[in-house]
Amino acid sequence: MELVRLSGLQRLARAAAVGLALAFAVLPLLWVVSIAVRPGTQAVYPISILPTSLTLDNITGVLFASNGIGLGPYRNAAFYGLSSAVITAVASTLGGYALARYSMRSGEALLIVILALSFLPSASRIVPLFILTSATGLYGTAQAVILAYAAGSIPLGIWLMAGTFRQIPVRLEQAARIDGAGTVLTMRRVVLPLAIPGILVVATLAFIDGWNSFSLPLILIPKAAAQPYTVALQRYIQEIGYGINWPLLSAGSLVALLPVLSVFAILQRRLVRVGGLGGAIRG
Amino acid sequence: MKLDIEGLTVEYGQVAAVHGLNLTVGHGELVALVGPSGCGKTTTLGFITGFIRPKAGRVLFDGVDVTALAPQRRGIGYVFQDYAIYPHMTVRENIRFPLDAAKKERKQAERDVDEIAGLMGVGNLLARRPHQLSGGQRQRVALARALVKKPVILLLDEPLSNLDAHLRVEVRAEIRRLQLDLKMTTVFVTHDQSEAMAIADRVAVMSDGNIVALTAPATLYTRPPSLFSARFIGSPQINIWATDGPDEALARRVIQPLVRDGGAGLLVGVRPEDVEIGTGELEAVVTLTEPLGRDFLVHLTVGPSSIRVLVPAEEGQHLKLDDNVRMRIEPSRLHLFDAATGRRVEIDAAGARRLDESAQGDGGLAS
Repeated sequence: MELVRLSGLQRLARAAAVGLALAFAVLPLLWVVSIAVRPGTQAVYPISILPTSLTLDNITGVLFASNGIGLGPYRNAAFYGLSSAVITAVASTLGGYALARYSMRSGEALLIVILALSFLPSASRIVPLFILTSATGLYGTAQAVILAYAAGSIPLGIWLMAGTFRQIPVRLEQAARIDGAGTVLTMRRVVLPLAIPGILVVATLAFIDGWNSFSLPLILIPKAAAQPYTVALQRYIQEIGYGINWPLLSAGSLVALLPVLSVFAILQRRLVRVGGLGGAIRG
Repeated sequence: MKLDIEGLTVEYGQVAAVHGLNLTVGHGELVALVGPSGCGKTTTLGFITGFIRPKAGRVLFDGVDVTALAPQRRGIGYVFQDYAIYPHMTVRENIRFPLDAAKKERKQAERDVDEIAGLMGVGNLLARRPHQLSGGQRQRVALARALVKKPVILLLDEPLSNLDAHLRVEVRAEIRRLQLDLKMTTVFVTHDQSEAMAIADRVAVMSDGNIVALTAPATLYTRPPSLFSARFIGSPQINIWATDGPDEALARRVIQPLVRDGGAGLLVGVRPEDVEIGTGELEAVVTLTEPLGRDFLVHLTVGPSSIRVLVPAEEGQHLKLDDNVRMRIEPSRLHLFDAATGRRVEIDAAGARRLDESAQGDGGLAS
């Protein structure tokens, strides 16, 4: 949809701006890919932009070799991320519905506070979380990380779900009541199906947040076997004396990208359609 | 099913939306609630459904108090102004929803859906989704969904206001036919007085949170019980002159044959179609003519007073601006109202005033 007609020069300028932004975002990724698929001998100075030969050794090395991090850290990250996504989805749906539907004098102010909370950098929560988990005996457990992830994702989740529910006309709920449906049936058959795009967005964001999280698990999980891949990959930087193991680090990062990319590929259309309520109300 | 509303009072904050409203709708009767926006029509419907909690008042279905019953247990059929069809369900799923909620056996439910969909003329649309339907089709689906469970009471909230003008008349007739066939106790809310007159057994005119007139459409038109309903019902609007004030001369002159006391404190009304022009003792000047099709609406002045007259087109087209015409008003066509209360006033054979006992006042000129 072209809202404004652009002259030839303006088009050129636009293309250049888009190209620059794209390069900024994509080039580092391509660089990671380029390093990840070349033999280790080509990852030392002087370094070529394109690999002269391709290999999957780095990737299999990260996942299966004795100096690799194995599948475990990815499994851990997936478990923490998915658990946080489920908790976030449930809590955000309940909280968002309450804020959207029940008139509270402080409702709007509460929403602003909640949104502000979601902008807090996760680093600012580390020390309080460390003290909190130590005091409650949760330190080092999966529950500690999952709850910490979810606590970080729920504010934005509630905000997004409140917006989703506000787009669903109250009339539809009243219609369901008049049609004889109680609270549970109204929710299950009318409200939740219409909120699914929003719930998917919230769960996806929470999963990606958890999957990518580094500083929280670094502090909260001392045991190597329970650490996610983000912390495990750090070993390739830390092992001083051998230098940074760029090929394995890149291969490990590449593997970590795959779930995120596939989630977007699968949900793309539903994510964009958030709030597709065509036909509920006239017009 | 007989519907009774007793002493309904609803307040939003400090503002009274409805105060002390009483209404009885007999079995199989259709009552239209009509009035300007904000008069409490939809609030009254909301009370019947149970969504609106009143400050005071009861609602009874066949004499049983259901005031405390949850909306989903009242067995009401409701058609919303904007239809409120479930957008994620097919037409079939929409219409079946009330039966699913009632845990009706699936096969029987499907048969019921087919039957009501056929009756409403949407049998060929059952597989479609709401966004693929026209406004008129959505309206029928909403009606089918409201009727499929055979509701005890049918409530219609401005069901025609989102339709095109020609569809409106058509669907109005269909709703009425269906309602008569099914003998469904029905409350029909509208702000359109002609719609209310056309469809209802009785029309309840609402103003400022109460019913100011409740009577058969014909009576409402020929013997409006109050000034407000006289003004609200009928288009073009009734002419009203006060016997005190700028219209004094004209008002007193036209009621002279009726009253002996000179007529102080009265409002005199005459409908535009009840004025004859061409003969008579009153002299008037034409200030505007508006062709309306079959009739012309002619604006006249008599001294300082203005008057709207409806004349047949063949007469109206000969009238020009600033023409002098003669006109006459048959005294039996006059409507008299008390200027202080707005209540209808009848004049007996001896020329004495008598307040119409059936009418409720609505504040006279002030309202």
